[in-house]
Amino acid sequence: MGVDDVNDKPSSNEGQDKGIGDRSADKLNKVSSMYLGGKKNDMSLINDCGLSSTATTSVNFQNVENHMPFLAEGNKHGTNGTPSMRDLSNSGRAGSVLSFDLDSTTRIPHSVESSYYDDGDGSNSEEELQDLFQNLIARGDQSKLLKNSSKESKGMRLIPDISDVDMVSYNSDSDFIRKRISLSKIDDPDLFHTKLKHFFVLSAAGKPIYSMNGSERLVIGYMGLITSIISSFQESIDEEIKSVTFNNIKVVILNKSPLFFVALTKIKHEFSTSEYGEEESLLGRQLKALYNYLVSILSKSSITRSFRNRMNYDLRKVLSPLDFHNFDSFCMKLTYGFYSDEDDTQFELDFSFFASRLLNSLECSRMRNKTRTRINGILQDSKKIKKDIPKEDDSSSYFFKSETSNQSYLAPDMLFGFITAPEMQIISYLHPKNHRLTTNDISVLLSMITSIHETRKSSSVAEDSWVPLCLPDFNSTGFVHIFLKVIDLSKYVAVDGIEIPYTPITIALISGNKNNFFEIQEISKYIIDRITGSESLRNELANELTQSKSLSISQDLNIPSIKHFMFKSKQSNQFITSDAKDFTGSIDKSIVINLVYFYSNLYHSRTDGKLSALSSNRRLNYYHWVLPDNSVIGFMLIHSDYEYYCLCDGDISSSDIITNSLNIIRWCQKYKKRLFIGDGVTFS
Amino acid sequence: MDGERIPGYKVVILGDTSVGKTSLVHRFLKNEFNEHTANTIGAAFITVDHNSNVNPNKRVRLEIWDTAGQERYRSLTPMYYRNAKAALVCFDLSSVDTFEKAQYWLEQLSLNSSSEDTKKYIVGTKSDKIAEAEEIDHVKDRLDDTAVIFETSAKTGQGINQLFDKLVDDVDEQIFDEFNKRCEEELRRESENSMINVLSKTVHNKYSCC
Repeated sequence: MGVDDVNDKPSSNEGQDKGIGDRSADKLNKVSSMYLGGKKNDMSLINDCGLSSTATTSVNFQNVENHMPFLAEGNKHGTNGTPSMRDLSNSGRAGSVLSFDLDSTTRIPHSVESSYYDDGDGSNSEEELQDLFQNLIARGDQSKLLKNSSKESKGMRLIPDISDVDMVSYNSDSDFIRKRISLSKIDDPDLFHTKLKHFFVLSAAGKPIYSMNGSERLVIGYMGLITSIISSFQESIDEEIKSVTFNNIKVVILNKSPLFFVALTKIKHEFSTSEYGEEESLLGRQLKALYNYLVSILSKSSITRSFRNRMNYDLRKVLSPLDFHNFDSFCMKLTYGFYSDEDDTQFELDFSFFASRLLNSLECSRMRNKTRTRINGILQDSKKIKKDIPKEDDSSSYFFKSETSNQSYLAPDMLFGFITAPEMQIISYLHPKNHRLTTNDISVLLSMITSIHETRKSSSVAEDSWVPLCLPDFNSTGFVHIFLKVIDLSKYVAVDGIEIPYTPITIALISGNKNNFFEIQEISKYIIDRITGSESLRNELANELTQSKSLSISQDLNIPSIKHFMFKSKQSNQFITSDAKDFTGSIDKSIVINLVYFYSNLYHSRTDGKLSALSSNRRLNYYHWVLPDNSVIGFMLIHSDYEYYCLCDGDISSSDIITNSLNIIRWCQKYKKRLFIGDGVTFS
Repeated sequence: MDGERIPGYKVVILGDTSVGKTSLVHRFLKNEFNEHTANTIGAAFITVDHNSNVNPNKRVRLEIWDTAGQERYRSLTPMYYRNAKAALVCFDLSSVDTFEKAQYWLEQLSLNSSSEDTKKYIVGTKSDKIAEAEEIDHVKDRLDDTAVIFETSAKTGQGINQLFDKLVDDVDEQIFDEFNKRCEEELRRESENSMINVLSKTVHNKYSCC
């Protein structure tokens, strides 16, 4: 690895980017007016641009105020002009499978990414999309002809553009995973340097708190280096996040003084910067997730307090082995979509976790509206439970019980309620009318629920947890208390004799008062009684949850050709994905790594801009990867209401992609009440 | 669970992190043991009816608070031992340093006036991999003469049932008396209530909402 290469010249992309933005703004206006003038004729223009285009067509329009529709183009400065950020990262692929050679005369890329912005009327006129897409694809077609004949390293299939200069070959995918990806905490500098990704958490005094890889001795050696990088940033103290890109390494530092969170990557698709700045980039969000976890268990104020008196305070002593395990798990899942422990005895594929962080949205359980409404109703009713026990000395008020005010609610301090399925899928969500939790906070909460669920798996003891948790956006200085209970629907006696499989659900009730355990427990009993007491509801729910576990495009949607998709509803900020195992027919670590690679590239190929809710803009993007043994097409459609991403085989026709994608989108919209919980249910 | 009317008996389990508090509880409840029991987050609440083997009629509903041993939860722990009838203060027999933390909880229990009535049990865990006998003697020296150390192992099951049997044996008769009295009182009130309900023509449901 090249931590030692740190002295290499940092590339300054910012300046160049701006230049492009300016020129593009002109271009944008020109192109958009032409486009608006006559749609059909201007297709030739698209063609012109497209056919001679090099690798990229996405341009950052950060300084464009009006969101005019534009045709992102690439030929002019793709070949002659200043390379954009993405050009740079693409050119960095020179040694990898998906590279194109800037010096070669062919100028034909192996990976072609195209995009199109359109101000259409918001409806997905299939014909129009077909037209647009044909033109986009026209640019990429030739790439198929060029399969790289040079010797491939096996592991390169997984993450094709790693930025290493000297990529030694690996015997197999699993050899590659073991050496370059898997966690390793041993004291081996070579292995440490081989890893593609590193995360560090350290204190301002340079004391290591967490490292994804390496032994403590090894990591301490790098703390000095990292603190010196940090201190070189500290002149601009108001900046919370900083990034620096060396030749083949990108480092992002999140300054949450007294703590620093550092990510270091050699994976090219993680190099991309978001149009909203580094905070919203892939690495920025990953660091934020680690920070949020730490705040959720300790609270911001207690972290600050710990370091106030002693700069060399060792935060590790308040962290448990479980916390370090959770850090490991986050780091792996955020980067690769799976977690496996060091000796690989147990692993967990969790593409959904990765997807939720990539799309910055939440996953819900698929469920018929009728069932969900019943569960919602129970959650709403539970909030209205009144205190049961009258005071012995005021029997007079007993007559007027039904007329007493809100004071008599059993748990006035109950703030939020969740019912979830173990895979972090929300079944139902209750919140006060005037307040809702942010996506961040819900993610933090769901992580904690998963963590508890994991620890319970090995035990048959039915216990109720009472857990202090700090919700970073809700209140970063204090704790709420969460009542948590996992129940297995199959354990409840069925009079009708219908056997159902093991179906755990979690009830999570959030209280603002730490002394309220027994009141909240009372509420949970009510909820459980109502859910399990009704045979029909219990069976219905178990049935829905079993079905909800998988979503097969070919079976559930009856749509061929598309191998995998993700659909995000922008309004509710919730998403669904189809089964990862449908992508190639089976599922293992390699396939999840593949999915992560494809979707990261596809996602970051968007230069979204600020699609306001009022605008009906939509945007197409297309990516074509030619791999040693097959090729894959990624397609993205961003609309003001939704984002749609999909993957399919490289030999599928463009009209099939559009037709089938539109069918999937229609399906998602038709069943949105089943797929998403929307705003949840409220109480006032 | 509500069918049988037996008195509740609040028990809190205290001790340093990773001494085996959760394993102790799980062995007692389900006779199961897992080497890789994860850290408890916050606290876990479990109820179980238990009677002493010595006196089968003496039956209580144990309301067990299995607390997290981590430093960061320390400030929350008083809420669990407040009003507790019994406290199991655990330390690891194979790592007697953990006795420091046990000592700390014993002191806190004594200092806290509301927990004066809390019966304290000193529980040594992991007796299957016990440290030097000398060290254990050293620990005993630091306790007063009357104190007993229950040596247990969640792994082998040694001493666990004996501990909880003793716990129930020790329950004061007074608790049963008070409980019975309260039951009678409740019965009396309930019959009155039914009269009242008829009068006010509202059927008061436990979960009524307005």
